[in-house]
Amino acid sequence: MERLDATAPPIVAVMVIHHPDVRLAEALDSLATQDYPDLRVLLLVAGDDADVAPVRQLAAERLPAAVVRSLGGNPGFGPACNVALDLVEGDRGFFLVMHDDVALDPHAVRCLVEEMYRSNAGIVGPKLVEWDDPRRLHRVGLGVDRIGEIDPLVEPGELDQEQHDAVRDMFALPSACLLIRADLLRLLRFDPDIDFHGDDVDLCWRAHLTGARVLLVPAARARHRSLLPERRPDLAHRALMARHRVWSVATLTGARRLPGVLMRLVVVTLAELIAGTVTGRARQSWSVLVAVAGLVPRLPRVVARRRRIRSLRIVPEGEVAYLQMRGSARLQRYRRARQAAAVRRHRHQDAAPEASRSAAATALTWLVALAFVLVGSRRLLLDGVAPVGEMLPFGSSPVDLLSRYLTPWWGSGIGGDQAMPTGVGLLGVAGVVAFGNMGLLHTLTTVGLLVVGLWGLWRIGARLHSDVGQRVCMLGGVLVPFGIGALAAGRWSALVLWAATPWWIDAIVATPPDRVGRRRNLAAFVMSVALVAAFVPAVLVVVPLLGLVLALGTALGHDGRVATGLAAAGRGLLRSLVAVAGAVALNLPWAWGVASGGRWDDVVRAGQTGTTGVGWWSLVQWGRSGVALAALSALVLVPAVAVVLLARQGRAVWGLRSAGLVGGFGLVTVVADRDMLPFPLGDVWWYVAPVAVGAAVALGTLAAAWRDDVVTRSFGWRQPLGLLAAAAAVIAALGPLLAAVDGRWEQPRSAIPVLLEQLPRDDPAGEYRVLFVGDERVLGMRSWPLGDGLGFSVVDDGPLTTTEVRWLPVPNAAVRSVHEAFDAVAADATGRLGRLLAPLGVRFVVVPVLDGVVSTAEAPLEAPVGLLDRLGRQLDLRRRSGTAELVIFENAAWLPTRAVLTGSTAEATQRAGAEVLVDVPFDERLPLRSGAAVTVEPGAVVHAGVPRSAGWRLDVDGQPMASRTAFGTVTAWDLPAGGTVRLRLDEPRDPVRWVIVAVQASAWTILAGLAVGWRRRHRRAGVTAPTEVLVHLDGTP
Amino acid sequence: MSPTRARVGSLVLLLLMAATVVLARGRAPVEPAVLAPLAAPANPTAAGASVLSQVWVCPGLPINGGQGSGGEVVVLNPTTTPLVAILTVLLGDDAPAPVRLDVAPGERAVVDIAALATARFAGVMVDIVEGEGIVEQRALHPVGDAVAPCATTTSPTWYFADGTTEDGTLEELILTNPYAGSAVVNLRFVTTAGPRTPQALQGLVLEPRSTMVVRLGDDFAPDEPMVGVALEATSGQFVAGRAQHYLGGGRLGFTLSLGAPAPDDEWWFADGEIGPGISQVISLFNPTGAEVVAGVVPLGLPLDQGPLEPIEVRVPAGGVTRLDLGALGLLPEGRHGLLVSSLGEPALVVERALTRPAGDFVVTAVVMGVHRVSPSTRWYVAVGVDEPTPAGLVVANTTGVDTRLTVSDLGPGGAVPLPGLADLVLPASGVLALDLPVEAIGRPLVIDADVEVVVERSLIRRTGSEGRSNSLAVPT
Repeated sequence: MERLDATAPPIVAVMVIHHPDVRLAEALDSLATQDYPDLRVLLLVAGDDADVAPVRQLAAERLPAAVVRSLGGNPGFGPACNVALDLVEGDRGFFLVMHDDVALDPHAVRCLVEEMYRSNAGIVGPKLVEWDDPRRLHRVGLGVDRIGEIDPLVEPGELDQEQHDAVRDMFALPSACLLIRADLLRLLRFDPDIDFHGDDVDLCWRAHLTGARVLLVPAARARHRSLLPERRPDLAHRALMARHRVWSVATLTGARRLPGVLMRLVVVTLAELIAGTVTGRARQSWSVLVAVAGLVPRLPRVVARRRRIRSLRIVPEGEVAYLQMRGSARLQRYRRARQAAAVRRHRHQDAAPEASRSAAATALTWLVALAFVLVGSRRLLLDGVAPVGEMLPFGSSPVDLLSRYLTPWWGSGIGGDQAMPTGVGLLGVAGVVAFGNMGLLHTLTTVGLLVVGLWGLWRIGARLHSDVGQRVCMLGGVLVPFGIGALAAGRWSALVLWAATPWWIDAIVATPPDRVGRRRNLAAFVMSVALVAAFVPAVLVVVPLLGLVLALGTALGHDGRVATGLAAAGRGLLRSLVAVAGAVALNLPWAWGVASGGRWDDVVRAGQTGTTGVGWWSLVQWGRSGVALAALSALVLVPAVAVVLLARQGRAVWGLRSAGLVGGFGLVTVVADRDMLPFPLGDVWWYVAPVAVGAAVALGTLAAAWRDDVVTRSFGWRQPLGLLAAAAAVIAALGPLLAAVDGRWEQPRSAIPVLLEQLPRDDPAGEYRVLFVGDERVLGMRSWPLGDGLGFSVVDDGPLTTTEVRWLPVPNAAVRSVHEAFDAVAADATGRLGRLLAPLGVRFVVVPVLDGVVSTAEAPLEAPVGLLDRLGRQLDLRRRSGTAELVIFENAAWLPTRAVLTGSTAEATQRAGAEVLVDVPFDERLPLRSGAAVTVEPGAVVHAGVPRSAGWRLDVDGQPMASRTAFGTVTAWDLPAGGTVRLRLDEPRDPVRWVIVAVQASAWTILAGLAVGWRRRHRRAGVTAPTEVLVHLDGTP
Repeated sequence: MSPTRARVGSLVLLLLMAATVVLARGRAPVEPAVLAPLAAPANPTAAGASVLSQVWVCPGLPINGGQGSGGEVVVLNPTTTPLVAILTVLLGDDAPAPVRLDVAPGERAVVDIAALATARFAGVMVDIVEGEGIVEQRALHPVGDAVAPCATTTSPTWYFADGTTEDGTLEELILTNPYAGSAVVNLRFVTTAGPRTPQALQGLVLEPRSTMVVRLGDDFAPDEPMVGVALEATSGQFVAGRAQHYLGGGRLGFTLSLGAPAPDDEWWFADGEIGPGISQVISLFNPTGAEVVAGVVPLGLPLDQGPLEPIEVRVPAGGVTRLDLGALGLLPEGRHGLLVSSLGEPALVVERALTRPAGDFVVTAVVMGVHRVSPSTRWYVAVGVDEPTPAGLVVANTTGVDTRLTVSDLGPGGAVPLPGLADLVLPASGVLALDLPVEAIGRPLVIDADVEVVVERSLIRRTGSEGRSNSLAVPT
């Protein structure tokens, strides 16, 4: 322990050292050469213990009086400085906190102290200049606006011409070098929640609240290297900056100004996000948005800190705000950069004009693409997406969806004790994010997918290393009108795949330079595949195929040794397989339910209707056959062929990849369309989606290759071929134009779900179900196969929703009974289909004929052979309506889904089998509403058309009754004594289910965190702060 | 990237694309979804054991309560397990409550419909919900009773070839809708003057579970010697029968027939006769839009007595052609069967009217032929004979091989061959008329053969005039 000189205020220089390098020696030398008489040095080594010895050795050589201590970990700069407060006793004097890459001029400390006393400041800092070129300014304080945005006040490389050499009050100073009154630092301390980035602004802001001045002292100069991103690549710097900035704004802004400031923060960030999306710099804005959202779970801590800060406030809020910049710091920064660029252009006539033109062209391209999407979708955005094909409304509220997901009861259709699909839970979460507006969510997840697809193509385009190529690649998303066609035809599964495929391609071919990047890439890939798989399980087939095709392209087109190319291809393929495995894991336990059926059919057909037999002409028109000029769109395949021959050098790999997507998936498409394999491949449009993406990438690659591989080559076959391909692309561009005219991409206006609105709602006769049976291509919903292209599905009464028809549970006895009933109908073995279906509450049998998409009035699919005739021969089915679109039969023998049965109908519940059902008239029953209390006579039987489950509970006069199986498939309760009954689904708090959901939610959250770059907060872990007092500022030992 | 690899890659991809183009050539056939193609139209057929329930619809019985009229439905249980059926009289809102029938193995239940309800005609539906059964109806009329099969299939179309309103003959079409929904039916007919589509007979609404009678003769097609009828539903399905009370034109008596649900290209008849005072007329109705050339082939004739070539008959589109076999003089006297074929064109409906002397008068029996798909190796007779009946059963062999056949009495213990009717030899394409002995009286019968045969019964009328009433037995 040493004593300080009593004539000068003692200063303890606290330098936090992390992974010392050659710069440290200079930094220590600068301290050693200070002309200030009472400067003590405390070196805190953050990081590995292995770093301590070199620091000790260096200190012994350069600064023998310095005290060296290890922190045992790296808690971040601010928290490390807080450790120093425990090692130094007394409040008389100052702390000089420093980074380890700062070298002070010899009189810097003295100048700082003098100004500190002269101006009665609380914190002062030197002028920082570049480490390698002290003629250039690095920082002269920090300007901070109301929303915490920082303006560095100098331009990179700005020459120091003494233009900033005046002592000035600053809102904040960089933490690289700060002289702080000891009592003030003990009062304020660095915020322990801020490890890297933002610690200086936060400290200075709080200093202002206490009335302390923060001054820049230009007479004191220090060189600063500032290479934190390079020294700490493991940190998510952008996210940390955003997180800490938002934290400071939320906790330090006065209460009166806070709402306005937060609103401004969100609005400005959204505007920046939009602008950044266009200019390709959206990540920072996105990080801020994430940080703002991250405040929600931290709300209690925000409140607690604001309460603590309140005791510090001495200066009115207005005075503090006065020190902040007016307007936007980012805008100021941008203006200054523009001015500087103009000066540079004037001086050097450098490449800036080209860059500027490129940026403008980028913005224009995006504007054109977005305008096309918005104009073409205007009616969908204003009126909502029509319930065409798979695009049924989501229906229920998010709370309902989430509560259904948490119960072990499959709440749609016939129901059963099975795990609900992950997609239901995800829809619930998405509904919460959409503030419960499921209609908005529906629109966003349909029209919005067009933008997602374009964005993905933009990302792929960036890999072409050509601005023109990137722009054309993105525009290829609309020139190849597959996404538009899918939206128009209600092929939601195909639209999702189209939108996701570019992102997957990007993830498969990506080669992040470091482990962190690789981890983030894989996490995002797995998550996106899992997300899509929750709705379209067939991605488990598509993604490996994608990996295989891209691996082929990579192996053949890799610009290096064969082994390297193969390794890159193998890594991409492996990533796709890992993504699929991860997607399965993230979709457990639902995925297990699907897989346990052991049926390939359940995988390739879950969630869609399985369109095949489309024909090549319709395929090459991207599913828009019948639409004006749609045939022209087939021409976009010409560039896909040409690019294989034209693209050379670095572009060749993308030429091969894009052509591989077109050729490889084209082949799979034809095979699927013609049903050439002994097993089904599912909906043919799933495989067209990668073809469309490949065609768009081929367009971009051709554009990228145009100048170097076509125009500038000596004249030969390349130029005619290139011109042919370009002309084909230009002509093809006319194809999608007309589709935008009607504002809904020519979606059919009437659809089967609309026609079904004629069915009764809330009928006093009781709740019922609707059985859809018909051609699987026309059903528009997931269906159980009856064979020969016929399928059926059972839904509850009320409007059709996605949650009802997108997923099916594993077939149970009730489902099998429907299958057997239709077998009997097919064999002319019964004329009593209505009775066979009655226990399940089936009141209407609906046969869709024209869906306006697959089967239209102009090109109708033939009605299922024998179906309508045979249904018409059922004695208990009454043909209720027969429009061109669908035929509805009403079951004269229907039983309400929940009913009180008496007499012979009640007796019949004791027996099982179709042989029994055909002899039951089902005419002695009363409807029973779920949850309603009804008084029943002795001897009655309460019937519920659901499989037996512990979840369904019947109380008689408040006492639960035991259930039994009725009709061999459903549930009944015997009421020998009668009484007041209440039937309800007692959603059991199944702890196992809750644990599973909690594990699943955790897995999704962790993966999401990995994908967006969240880091485990590690600064406290491993920090072993020394506890003994090393320095006394008050002069006492 | 090496040029070699680039070339290889390009080649691979171009080959891939070429393969895709080759595979994609032509349009993939768009197959419709299929539940099960409807079986070709057929005569009523007994269901197999795998059937959950079978509905029989009897086209209509005269139960107006008048002197001598009435009707009964006979439900036969040909199996060794009990049968449960629900009998419903189809009179719409006036229908009596359904009747539950329990029929023991090998037994019959006979239900007097006139005792349940009163109407001019009443269709009856028998819904066999347990076991297997055969259902036939017997109409009682002052001029003679008539047995007709009940339908096991409904159809949106029904046809009749042999109708007449000549000399005041009553022709009544009985339309029965067994379903819970309405059916809408259009009626057109063809006479010697050509096709007619009266506006008043378009859009006939058949109410659910009801019976409608359309009478020809007064307002429509009066005094027509030949009336072919087509009933076509624009919505729903139904069953059609025809009652005829012959009062002239060389015919007398009462017949009740089930229509044909669809045209076909082969029609078989077991019974047919040429002889003094016997008139045998074949009516061929072509409801399609194209002329058809049909061939009439007699069965069971010695090779040296019958025509070697089929008798060729032209039937105009939408028209009826009548062929008086006796007047042709091509066939020898005696019994024979008939095959009428339109050579692969399912365009014909064929009925045979057989008028035989009965005492001082004649009696006419009209039978719809057996469809091409209906010949069977087993046939049932639910309504049997009331007295020993010569030539009570006529069996025609529809194949080119000889066969043996046995006629058995069905009882609780199963089938017992009747004396003298076991292991009878029936030559290829031959016809055999069987005399039913006293043991057959009041008993349901079953006829078994080794090959496909057609069985027609010729019952002695119980009421009214003398003579025979012909009808088909029921195949399995």
